Amino acid sequence: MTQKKDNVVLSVEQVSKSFYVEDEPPILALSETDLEVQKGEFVAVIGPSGCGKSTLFNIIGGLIPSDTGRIMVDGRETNGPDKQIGMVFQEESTFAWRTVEQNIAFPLELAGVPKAERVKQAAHFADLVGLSGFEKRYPAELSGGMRQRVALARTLALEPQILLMDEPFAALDEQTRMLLGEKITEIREELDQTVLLITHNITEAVQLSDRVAIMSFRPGVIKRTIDIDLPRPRGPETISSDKFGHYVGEIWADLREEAARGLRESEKALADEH
Amino acid sequence: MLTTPTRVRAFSLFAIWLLWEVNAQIGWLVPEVFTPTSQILAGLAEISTSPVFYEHMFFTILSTGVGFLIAVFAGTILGIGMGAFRIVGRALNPYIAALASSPKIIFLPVVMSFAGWGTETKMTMAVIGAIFPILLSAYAGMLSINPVHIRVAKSFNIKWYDLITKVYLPSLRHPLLVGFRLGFGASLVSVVLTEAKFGESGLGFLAMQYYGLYAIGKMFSVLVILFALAIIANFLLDRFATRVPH
Repeated sequence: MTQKKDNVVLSVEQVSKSFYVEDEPPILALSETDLEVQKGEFVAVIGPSGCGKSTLFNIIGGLIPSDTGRIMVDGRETNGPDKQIGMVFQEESTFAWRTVEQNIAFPLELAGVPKAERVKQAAHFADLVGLSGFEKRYPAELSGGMRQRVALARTLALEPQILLMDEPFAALDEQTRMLLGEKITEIREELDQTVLLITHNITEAVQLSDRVAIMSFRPGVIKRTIDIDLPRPRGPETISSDKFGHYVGEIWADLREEAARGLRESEKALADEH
Repeated sequence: MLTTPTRVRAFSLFAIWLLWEVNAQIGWLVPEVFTPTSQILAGLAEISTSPVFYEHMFFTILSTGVGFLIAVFAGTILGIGMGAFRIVGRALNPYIAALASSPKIIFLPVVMSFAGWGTETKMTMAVIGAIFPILLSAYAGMLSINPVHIRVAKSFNIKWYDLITKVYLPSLRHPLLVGFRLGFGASLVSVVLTEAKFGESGLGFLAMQYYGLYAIGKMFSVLVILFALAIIANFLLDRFATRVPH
Protein backbone atom coordinates (compact mmCIF):
# COMPACT_ATOMS: atom_id res chain seq x y z
CA MET A 1 0.00 0.00 0.00
CA THR A 2 1.09 3.52 -0.70
CA GLN A 3 -0.65 5.46 2.07
CA LYS A 4 1.62 7.58 4.17
CA LYS A 5 2.28 6.62 7.75
CA ASP A 6 0.92 9.90 9.13
CA ASN A 7 -2.52 9.02 7.80
CA VAL A 8 -2.82 6.25 10.34
CA VAL A 9 -5.49 7.25 12.83
CA LEU A 10 -5.77 3.99 14.73
CA SER A 11 -3.10 1.41 15.27
CA VAL A 12 -3.19 -1.80 17.23
CA GLU A 13 0.36 -2.72 18.15
CA GLN A 14 1.40 -6.18 19.30
CA VAL A 15 -1.70 -6.68 21.38
CA SER A 16 -1.99 -9.98 23.29
CA LYS A 17 -4.61 -11.17 25.70
CA SER A 18 -5.08 -14.41 27.60
CA PHE A 19 -8.05 -15.52 29.63
CA TYR A 20 -7.64 -17.66 32.68
CA VAL A 21 -10.24 -20.17 33.73
CA GLU A 22 -9.72 -22.05 36.97
CA ASP A 23 -8.17 -25.52 36.57
CA GLU A 24 -7.74 -25.09 32.83
CA PRO A 25 -4.87 -24.03 30.65
CA PRO A 26 -5.11 -20.30 29.81
CA ILE A 27 -6.77 -19.39 26.53
CA LEU A 28 -4.65 -17.16 24.34
CA ALA A 29 -7.35 -15.06 22.68
CA LEU A 30 -5.07 -12.58 20.93
CA SER A 31 -1.43 -13.07 20.12
CA GLU A 32 0.65 -10.02 19.21
CA THR A 33 -2.02 -8.66 16.92
CA ASP A 34 -1.24 -5.70 14.68
CA LEU A 35 -3.70 -3.61 12.72
CA GLU A 36 -3.60 -0.14 11.22
CA VAL A 37 -6.53 1.94 10.08
CA GLN A 38 -6.06 4.99 7.84
CA LYS A 39 -8.04 8.18 8.24
CA GLY A 40 -11.38 7.89 6.46
CA GLU A 41 -10.89 4.20 5.81
CA PHE A 42 -13.56 1.52 6.34
CA VAL A 43 -11.93 -1.63 7.63
CA ALA A 44 -13.71 -4.86 8.50
CA VAL A 45 -12.18 -7.46 10.81
CA ILE A 46 -13.63 -10.82 9.99
CA GLY A 47 -13.12 -14.09 11.79
CA PRO A 48 -14.81 -17.28 12.96
CA SER A 49 -16.77 -17.41 16.23
CA GLY A 50 -14.51 -17.49 19.24
CA CYS A 51 -11.48 -16.12 17.39
CA GLY A 52 -11.07 -13.15 19.68
CA LYS A 53 -12.81 -10.53 17.53
CA SER A 54 -14.87 -9.31 20.45
CA THR A 55 -11.80 -9.31 22.67
CA LEU A 56 -10.08 -7.09 20.11
CA PHE A 57 -13.17 -4.85 20.05
CA ASN A 58 -13.17 -4.52 23.83
CA ILE A 59 -9.44 -3.82 23.98
CA ILE A 60 -9.55 -1.17 21.25
CA GLY A 61 -12.55 0.40 22.96
CA GLY A 62 -10.66 0.41 26.26
CA LEU A 63 -13.23 -1.72 28.11
CA ILE A 64 -10.68 -4.41 28.94
CA PRO A 65 -6.91 -4.02 29.26
CA SER A 66 -4.55 -5.96 27.03
CA ASP A 67 -1.73 -8.07 28.46
CA THR A 68 0.88 -6.64 26.12
CA GLY A 69 1.00 -4.08 23.34
CA ARG A 70 -0.88 -0.82 22.98
CA ILE A 71 -3.63 1.01 21.13
CA MET A 72 -2.66 4.29 19.48
CA VAL A 73 -5.15 6.93 18.38
CA ASP A 74 -3.71 9.77 16.34
CA GLY A 75 -0.25 8.87 17.54
CA ARG A 76 -1.24 8.95 21.21
CA GLU A 77 -1.54 5.88 23.39
CA THR A 78 -5.05 5.30 24.77
CA ASN A 79 -5.71 4.57 28.38
CA GLY A 80 -9.19 3.11 28.87
CA PRO A 81 -12.27 4.29 26.95
CA ASP A 82 -11.25 7.09 24.61
CA LYS A 83 -13.37 10.00 23.47
CA GLN A 84 -12.07 9.51 19.93
CA ILE A 85 -13.29 5.92 19.72
CA GLY A 86 -17.06 5.50 19.55
CA MET A 87 -18.34 2.00 20.23
CA VAL A 88 -21.49 0.41 18.82
CA PHE A 89 -22.44 -2.89 20.39
CA GLN A 90 -23.93 -6.04 19.00
CA GLU A 91 -26.70 -6.31 21.57
CA GLU A 92 -29.76 -4.14 21.81
CA SER A 93 -28.33 -1.28 23.84
CA THR A 94 -30.75 1.66 23.78
CA PHE A 95 -31.99 2.85 27.17
CA ALA A 96 -35.66 1.88 27.39
CA TRP A 97 -36.42 4.71 29.84
CA ARG A 98 -35.12 7.42 27.54
CA THR A 99 -36.71 8.81 24.42
CA VAL A 100 -34.80 8.67 21.14
CA GLU A 101 -33.67 12.23 21.75
CA GLN A 102 -32.55 11.51 25.30
CA ASN A 103 -30.77 8.36 24.18
CA ILE A 104 -28.79 10.21 21.53
CA ALA A 105 -28.04 13.04 23.96
CA PHE A 106 -26.81 10.63 26.66
CA PRO A 107 -23.05 11.06 26.04
CA LEU A 108 -23.52 14.82 25.62
CA GLU A 109 -25.30 14.91 28.96
CA LEU A 110 -22.34 13.10 30.56
CA ALA A 111 -20.02 15.64 28.96
CA GLY A 112 -22.01 18.50 30.49
CA VAL A 113 -23.33 19.96 27.23
CA PRO A 114 -26.20 22.41 28.00
CA LYS A 115 -29.73 21.15 27.34
CA ALA A 116 -30.60 23.40 24.39
CA GLU A 117 -27.42 22.39 22.60
CA ARG A 118 -28.06 18.69 23.36
CA VAL A 119 -31.52 18.84 21.87
CA LYS A 120 -30.13 20.48 18.75
CA GLN A 121 -27.36 17.93 18.40
CA ALA A 122 -29.72 15.01 19.05
CA ALA A 123 -32.07 16.27 16.33
CA HIS A 124 -29.13 16.55 13.94
CA PHE A 125 -27.92 12.99 14.57
CA ALA A 126 -31.45 11.57 14.57
CA ASP A 127 -31.82 13.10 11.13
CA LEU A 128 -28.46 11.69 10.03
CA VAL A 129 -29.54 8.11 10.84
CA GLY A 130 -32.97 8.70 9.30
CA LEU A 131 -34.97 9.00 12.51
CA SER A 132 -36.23 12.55 12.11
CA GLY A 133 -39.68 12.84 13.65
CA PHE A 134 -39.08 10.01 16.13
CA GLU A 135 -37.21 12.12 18.70
CA LYS A 136 -39.92 11.89 21.33
CA ARG A 137 -40.56 8.16 20.95
CA TYR A 138 -39.35 5.48 23.33
CA PRO A 139 -37.26 2.54 22.02
CA ALA A 140 -40.14 0.13 22.72
CA GLU A 141 -42.12 1.97 20.04
CA LEU A 142 -39.43 1.41 17.40
CA SER A 143 -38.32 -1.57 15.30
CA GLY A 144 -35.04 -3.41 15.94
CA GLY A 145 -33.36 -1.67 13.00
CA MET A 146 -34.48 1.73 14.23
CA ARG A 147 -33.23 1.01 17.73
CA GLN A 148 -29.83 0.05 16.36
CA ARG A 149 -29.78 3.36 14.47
CA VAL A 150 -30.54 5.16 17.74
CA ALA A 151 -27.52 3.41 19.25
CA LEU A 152 -25.45 4.46 16.25
CA ALA A 153 -26.59 8.08 16.53
CA ARG A 154 -25.84 8.03 20.27
CA THR A 155 -22.26 6.96 19.53
CA LEU A 156 -21.87 9.47 16.69
CA ALA A 157 -23.15 12.30 18.88
CA LEU A 158 -19.73 12.66 20.50
CA GLU A 159 -18.19 12.91 17.01
CA PRO A 160 -15.50 10.29 17.59
CA GLN A 161 -12.67 10.03 15.07
CA ILE A 162 -13.11 6.29 14.87
CA LEU A 163 -16.41 4.44 14.79
CA LEU A 164 -15.84 0.98 16.25
CA MET A 165 -18.67 -1.50 15.71
CA ASP A 166 -19.04 -5.08 16.94
CA GLU A 167 -21.46 -6.95 14.67
CA PRO A 168 -23.96 -4.11 14.91
CA PHE A 169 -26.38 -5.88 12.57
CA ALA A 170 -26.23 -9.29 14.25
CA ALA A 171 -29.67 -9.03 15.82
CA LEU A 172 -31.37 -7.84 12.62
CA ASP A 173 -32.97 -9.69 9.72
CA GLU A 174 -31.10 -9.94 6.41
CA GLN A 175 -32.92 -7.16 4.57
CA THR A 176 -32.83 -4.70 7.43
CA ARG A 177 -29.15 -5.52 7.75
CA MET A 178 -28.47 -4.72 4.07
CA LEU A 179 -30.35 -1.43 4.28
CA LEU A 180 -28.63 -0.46 7.50
CA GLY A 181 -25.32 -1.26 5.82
CA GLU A 182 -26.18 1.17 3.05
CA LYS A 183 -27.16 3.77 5.64
CA ILE A 184 -23.82 3.38 7.39
CA THR A 185 -21.99 3.79 4.07
CA GLU A 186 -23.93 7.00 3.44
CA ILE A 187 -23.22 8.38 6.91
CA ARG A 188 -19.61 7.43 6.60
CA GLU A 189 -19.31 9.38 3.36
CA GLU A 190 -21.14 12.38 4.79
CA LEU A 191 -18.93 12.57 7.88
CA ASP A 192 -15.78 11.19 6.25
CA GLN A 193 -15.89 8.78 9.16
CA THR A 194 -13.17 6.24 9.86
CA VAL A 195 -14.85 2.92 10.62
CA LEU A 196 -13.62 -0.34 12.10
CA LEU A 197 -16.27 -3.04 11.82
CA ILE A 198 -16.01 -6.41 13.56
CA THR A 199 -18.11 -9.02 11.80
CA HIS A 200 -18.44 -12.69 10.90
CA ASN A 201 -20.48 -11.95 7.80
CA ILE A 202 -18.40 -12.11 4.62
CA THR A 203 -20.92 -10.41 2.30
CA GLU A 204 -21.33 -7.59 4.78
CA ALA A 205 -17.56 -7.14 5.06
CA VAL A 206 -17.12 -7.00 1.27
CA GLN A 207 -20.16 -4.77 0.74
CA LEU A 208 -19.04 -2.15 3.23
CA SER A 209 -15.25 -2.13 3.48
CA ASP A 210 -12.22 -0.71 1.76
CA ARG A 211 -10.15 -3.42 3.38
CA VAL A 212 -10.96 -6.70 5.07
CA ALA A 213 -8.67 -8.10 7.77
CA ILE A 214 -9.02 -11.84 8.28
CA MET A 215 -8.45 -13.18 11.78
CA SER A 216 -7.26 -16.66 12.62
CA PHE A 217 -8.81 -18.88 15.27
CA ARG A 218 -6.92 -19.10 18.56
CA PRO A 219 -4.58 -17.55 18.96
CA GLY A 220 -6.22 -14.62 17.19
CA VAL A 221 -3.96 -12.68 14.88
CA ILE A 222 -4.66 -10.80 11.67
CA LYS A 223 -3.75 -13.46 9.17
CA ARG A 224 -4.11 -11.40 6.06
CA THR A 225 -5.76 -8.22 4.79
CA ILE A 226 -7.50 -7.90 1.43
CA ASP A 227 -8.15 -4.57 -0.31
CA ILE A 228 -11.67 -4.42 -1.69
CA ASP A 229 -11.39 -2.58 -4.96
CA LEU A 230 -15.05 -2.11 -5.85
CA PRO A 231 -16.79 1.09 -6.98
CA ARG A 232 -19.09 2.89 -4.55
CA PRO A 233 -21.97 3.07 -3.93
CA ARG A 234 -22.20 -0.69 -3.83
CA GLY A 235 -25.78 -1.35 -4.83
CA PRO A 236 -27.35 -4.59 -6.05
CA GLU A 237 -25.33 -4.50 -9.34
CA THR A 238 -22.04 -4.47 -7.49
CA ILE A 239 -23.15 -7.20 -5.11
CA SER A 240 -24.18 -9.44 -8.03
CA SER A 241 -20.94 -8.75 -9.94
CA ASP A 242 -18.27 -11.43 -10.52
CA LYS A 243 -15.68 -9.35 -8.76
CA PHE A 244 -17.82 -9.18 -5.60
CA GLY A 245 -18.29 -12.92 -5.69
CA HIS A 246 -14.59 -13.39 -6.23
CA TYR A 247 -13.79 -11.41 -3.06
CA VAL A 248 -16.33 -13.39 -1.08
CA GLY A 249 -14.81 -16.63 -2.34
CA GLU A 250 -11.29 -15.52 -1.59
CA ILE A 251 -12.15 -14.54 1.96
CA TRP A 252 -14.10 -17.73 2.55
CA ALA A 253 -11.18 -19.82 1.32
CA ASP A 254 -9.04 -18.26 4.03
CA LEU A 255 -11.70 -18.23 6.67
CA ARG A 256 -12.90 -21.76 6.05
CA GLU A 257 -9.83 -23.36 7.60
CA GLU A 258 -10.11 -21.18 10.68
CA ALA A 259 -13.82 -21.69 11.06
CA ALA A 260 -13.44 -25.46 10.69
CA ARG A 261 -10.71 -25.49 13.30
CA GLY A 262 -12.86 -23.39 15.63
CA LEU A 263 -15.78 -25.73 15.18
CA ARG A 264 -13.63 -28.82 15.82
CA GLU A 265 -12.24 -27.33 19.00
CA SER A 266 -15.57 -26.24 20.36
CA GLU A 267 -17.05 -29.67 19.62
CA LYS A 268 -14.08 -31.27 21.31
CA ALA A 269 -14.57 -29.05 24.35
CA LEU A 270 -18.21 -30.09 24.49
CA ALA A 271 -17.25 -33.76 24.20
CA ASP A 272 -14.70 -33.37 27.02
CA GLU A 273 -17.38 -32.03 29.31
CA HIS A 274 -19.27 -35.31 29.13
CA MET B 1 -72.13 -8.02 34.34
CA LEU B 2 -68.67 -8.56 35.85
CA THR B 3 -66.94 -7.27 32.77
CA THR B 4 -64.60 -4.60 34.12
CA PRO B 5 -62.20 -4.66 37.07
CA THR B 6 -64.17 -1.84 38.68
CA ARG B 7 -67.37 -3.87 38.54
CA VAL B 8 -65.69 -6.96 39.94
CA ARG B 9 -64.22 -4.82 42.69
CA ALA B 10 -67.57 -3.22 43.53
CA PHE B 11 -69.35 -6.55 43.42
CA SER B 12 -66.86 -8.33 45.69
CA LEU B 13 -67.01 -5.49 48.20
CA PHE B 14 -70.77 -5.66 48.16
CA ALA B 15 -70.74 -9.47 48.55
CA ILE B 16 -68.41 -9.30 51.55
CA TRP B 17 -70.53 -6.60 53.12
CA LEU B 18 -73.68 -8.67 52.55
CA LEU B 19 -72.14 -11.81 54.10
CA TRP B 20 -70.92 -9.79 57.03
CA GLU B 21 -74.24 -8.09 57.59
CA VAL B 22 -76.32 -11.27 57.24
CA ASN B 23 -74.00 -13.03 59.67
CA ALA B 24 -74.28 -10.14 62.14
CA GLN B 25 -78.08 -10.08 61.90
CA ILE B 26 -78.69 -13.82 62.33
CA GLY B 27 -75.85 -14.04 64.89
CA TRP B 28 -74.35 -17.18 63.41
CA LEU B 29 -70.55 -16.76 63.65
CA VAL B 30 -69.16 -14.99 66.77
CA PRO B 31 -71.73 -12.16 66.68
CA GLU B 32 -69.88 -10.43 69.53
CA VAL B 33 -66.98 -9.71 67.16
CA PHE B 34 -68.60 -9.48 63.74
CA THR B 35 -70.73 -6.55 64.72
CA PRO B 36 -73.30 -4.99 62.34
CA THR B 37 -71.86 -2.43 59.92
CA SER B 38 -74.18 0.20 61.32
CA GLN B 39 -72.21 0.00 64.56
CA ILE B 40 -68.90 0.35 62.70
CA LEU B 41 -70.27 3.41 60.90
CA ALA B 42 -71.46 4.83 64.20
CA GLY B 43 -67.98 4.19 65.62
CA LEU B 44 -66.42 5.96 62.67
CA ALA B 45 -68.71 8.93 63.13
CA GLU B 46 -67.85 9.10 66.78
CA ILE B 47 -64.08 8.80 66.59
CA SER B 48 -63.85 11.16 63.62
CA THR B 49 -65.17 13.96 65.83
CA SER B 50 -62.68 13.35 68.65
CA PRO B 51 -59.40 15.28 68.49
CA VAL B 52 -57.64 12.46 70.36
CA PHE B 53 -58.24 10.18 67.42
CA TYR B 54 -56.48 12.58 65.03
CA GLU B 55 -53.58 12.77 67.41
CA HIS B 56 -53.23 8.99 67.35
CA MET B 57 -53.55 8.90 63.59
CA PHE B 58 -50.92 11.62 63.27
CA PHE B 59 -48.44 9.54 65.28
CA THR B 60 -49.05 6.44 63.20
CA ILE B 61 -48.66 8.33 59.93
CA LEU B 62 -45.58 10.14 61.18
CA SER B 63 -43.81 7.00 62.40
CA THR B 64 -44.68 5.02 59.31
CA GLY B 65 -43.84 7.82 56.88
CA VAL B 66 -40.50 8.79 58.38
CA GLY B 67 -39.46 5.15 58.86
CA PHE B 68 -40.51 4.26 55.33
CA LEU B 69 -38.61 7.19 53.81
CA ILE B 70 -35.44 6.32 55.72
CA ALA B 71 -35.82 2.72 54.52
CA VAL B 72 -36.33 3.91 50.92
CA PHE B 73 -33.01 5.75 50.95
CA ALA B 74 -31.01 3.27 52.97
CA GLY B 75 -32.48 0.19 51.27
CA THR B 76 -31.93 1.55 47.78
CA ILE B 77 -28.35 2.56 48.51
CA LEU B 78 -27.49 -0.74 50.22
CA GLY B 79 -29.15 -2.79 47.46
CA ILE B 80 -27.24 -0.91 44.77
CA GLY B 81 -24.02 -1.29 46.76
CA MET B 82 -24.53 -5.05 47.11
CA GLY B 83 -25.24 -5.34 43.41
CA ALA B 84 -22.34 -3.14 42.35
CA PHE B 85 -19.83 -4.99 44.54
CA ARG B 86 -20.72 -8.56 43.71
CA ILE B 87 -18.43 -10.15 46.28
CA VAL B 88 -19.95 -8.15 49.12
CA GLY B 89 -23.43 -8.83 47.78
CA ARG B 90 -22.93 -12.55 47.54
CA ALA B 91 -21.28 -12.68 50.94
CA LEU B 92 -24.07 -10.79 52.72
CA ASN B 93 -27.01 -12.20 50.81
CA PRO B 94 -27.71 -15.23 53.09
CA TYR B 95 -27.70 -13.08 56.22
CA ILE B 96 -30.01 -10.55 54.69
CA ALA B 97 -32.33 -13.22 53.38
CA ALA B 98 -32.46 -14.75 56.87
CA LEU B 99 -33.17 -11.39 58.52
CA ALA B 100 -35.72 -10.52 55.87
CA SER B 101 -37.81 -13.61 56.50
CA SER B 102 -37.70 -13.47 60.29
CA PRO B 103 -40.54 -11.68 62.09
CA LYS B 104 -39.38 -8.14 62.75
CA ILE B 105 -41.13 -7.96 66.09
CA ILE B 106 -38.21 -9.89 67.62
CA PHE B 107 -36.15 -6.70 67.24
CA LEU B 108 -38.59 -4.74 69.38
CA PRO B 109 -36.97 -5.43 72.77
CA VAL B 110 -33.56 -4.47 71.39
CA VAL B 111 -34.88 -1.30 69.78
CA MET B 112 -36.82 -0.38 72.89
CA SER B 113 -33.77 -0.74 75.08
CA PHE B 114 -32.12 1.92 72.93
CA ALA B 115 -34.99 4.16 71.92
CA GLY B 116 -37.49 3.79 74.72
CA TRP B 117 -41.27 3.70 74.38
CA GLY B 118 -41.88 6.58 72.08
CA THR B 119 -42.09 7.53 68.44
CA GLU B 120 -38.39 6.81 67.82
CA THR B 121 -38.96 3.14 68.55
CA LYS B 122 -41.88 3.02 66.14
CA MET B 123 -39.87 4.78 63.43
CA THR B 124 -37.00 2.37 63.92
CA MET B 125 -39.40 -0.56 63.70
CA ALA B 126 -40.81 0.94 60.50
CA VAL B 127 -37.30 1.16 59.05
CA ILE B 128 -36.56 -2.45 60.03
CA GLY B 129 -39.84 -3.56 58.47
CA ALA B 130 -39.46 -1.72 55.19
CA ILE B 131 -35.75 -1.93 54.53
CA PHE B 132 -35.56 -5.63 53.66
CA PRO B 133 -38.08 -5.78 50.81
CA ILE B 134 -36.60 -2.56 49.37
CA LEU B 135 -33.01 -3.71 49.71
CA LEU B 136 -33.73 -7.16 48.28
CA SER B 137 -35.70 -5.71 45.33
CA ALA B 138 -32.88 -3.29 44.57
CA TYR B 139 -30.31 -6.08 44.81
CA ALA B 140 -32.32 -8.43 42.59
CA GLY B 141 -32.78 -5.56 40.13
CA MET B 142 -29.04 -4.91 40.09
CA LEU B 143 -28.37 -8.54 39.20
CA SER B 144 -30.68 -8.28 36.21
CA ILE B 145 -29.38 -4.99 34.82
CA ASN B 146 -28.63 -5.31 31.13
CA PRO B 147 -24.83 -5.67 31.05
CA VAL B 148 -24.61 -3.93 27.67
CA HIS B 149 -26.01 -0.77 29.27
CA ILE B 150 -23.08 -0.75 31.65
CA ARG B 151 -20.66 -1.30 28.77
CA VAL B 152 -22.24 1.55 26.76
CA ALA B 153 -21.95 3.81 29.79
CA LYS B 154 -18.33 2.81 30.38
CA SER B 155 -17.48 3.37 26.72
CA PHE B 156 -18.53 6.98 27.32
CA ASN B 157 -16.21 7.13 30.33
CA ILE B 158 -19.10 7.59 32.73
CA LYS B 159 -18.41 8.87 36.25
CA TRP B 160 -19.58 6.66 39.13
CA TYR B 161 -22.31 9.06 40.26
CA ASP B 162 -23.67 9.35 36.72
CA LEU B 163 -23.62 5.56 36.49
CA ILE B 164 -25.80 5.39 39.60
CA THR B 165 -28.25 8.15 38.70
CA LYS B 166 -28.44 7.68 34.93
CA VAL B 167 -28.09 3.90 34.53
CA TYR B 168 -28.59 1.98 37.79
CA LEU B 169 -31.55 3.90 39.22
CA PRO B 170 -33.58 4.06 35.99
CA SER B 171 -32.83 0.37 35.35
CA LEU B 172 -34.16 -0.42 38.81
CA ARG B 173 -37.38 1.55 38.44
CA HIS B 174 -39.72 -1.47 38.29
CA PRO B 175 -38.16 -3.67 41.00
CA LEU B 176 -37.82 -0.61 43.25
CA LEU B 177 -41.50 0.25 42.92
CA VAL B 178 -42.39 -3.31 43.93
CA GLY B 179 -39.97 -3.02 46.84
CA PHE B 180 -41.44 0.33 47.94
CA ARG B 181 -44.92 -1.08 47.87
CA LEU B 182 -44.03 -4.15 49.90
CA GLY B 183 -41.87 -2.01 52.16
CA PHE B 184 -44.64 0.44 52.91
CA GLY B 185 -46.97 -2.37 53.93
CA ALA B 186 -44.27 -3.85 56.14
CA SER B 187 -43.52 -0.53 57.83
CA LEU B 188 -47.20 0.08 58.56
CA VAL B 189 -47.49 -3.43 60.02
CA SER B 190 -44.41 -2.89 62.19
CA VAL B 191 -45.66 0.43 63.50
CA VAL B 192 -49.19 -0.75 64.28
CA LEU B 193 -47.89 -3.92 65.87
CA THR B 194 -45.51 -1.95 68.07
CA GLU B 195 -48.32 0.39 69.03
CA ALA B 196 -50.64 -2.49 69.81
CA LYS B 197 -48.04 -4.31 71.89
CA PHE B 198 -46.29 -1.61 73.84
CA GLY B 199 -47.26 1.85 72.61
CA GLU B 200 -49.03 4.67 74.35
CA SER B 201 -50.20 6.31 71.18
CA GLY B 202 -51.13 5.54 67.57
CA LEU B 203 -53.92 3.70 65.83
CA GLY B 204 -52.68 0.27 66.90
CA PHE B 205 -52.79 1.40 70.52
CA LEU B 206 -56.25 2.90 70.00
CA ALA B 207 -57.63 -0.28 68.43
CA MET B 208 -56.32 -2.35 71.34
CA GLN B 209 -57.76 0.12 73.80
CA TYR B 210 -61.22 -0.12 72.21
CA TYR B 211 -60.87 -3.88 72.17
CA GLY B 212 -60.06 -3.83 75.88
CA LEU B 213 -63.12 -1.67 76.49
CA TYR B 214 -65.10 -4.07 74.35
CA ALA B 215 -66.07 -1.24 71.99
CA ILE B 216 -66.02 -3.51 68.96
CA GLY B 217 -67.68 -1.01 66.61
CA LYS B 218 -65.02 1.58 67.36
CA MET B 219 -62.24 -0.99 67.14
CA PHE B 220 -63.38 -1.93 63.65
CA SER B 221 -63.66 1.70 62.66
CA VAL B 222 -59.97 2.14 63.55
CA LEU B 223 -59.18 -0.85 61.36
CA VAL B 224 -61.20 0.70 58.54
CA ILE B 225 -59.13 3.86 58.88
CA LEU B 226 -55.89 1.84 58.73
CA PHE B 227 -57.20 0.08 55.66
CA ALA B 228 -57.99 3.44 54.07
CA LEU B 229 -54.49 4.73 54.89
CA ALA B 230 -52.92 1.71 53.16
CA ILE B 231 -55.13 2.27 50.11
CA ILE B 232 -54.20 5.96 49.94
CA ALA B 233 -50.49 5.14 50.23
CA ASN B 234 -50.77 2.56 47.45
CA PHE B 235 -52.64 5.04 45.31
CA LEU B 236 -49.87 7.60 45.78
CA LEU B 237 -47.22 5.01 44.86
CA ASP B 238 -49.28 4.12 41.77
CA ARG B 239 -49.46 7.76 40.75
CA PHE B 240 -45.69 7.91 41.06
CA ALA B 241 -45.34 4.66 39.07
CA THR B 242 -47.34 5.93 36.09
CA ARG B 243 -44.84 8.75 35.68
CA VAL B 244 -42.07 6.19 35.21
CA PRO B 245 -41.56 5.19 31.54
CA HIS B 246 -41.45 1.51 30.60
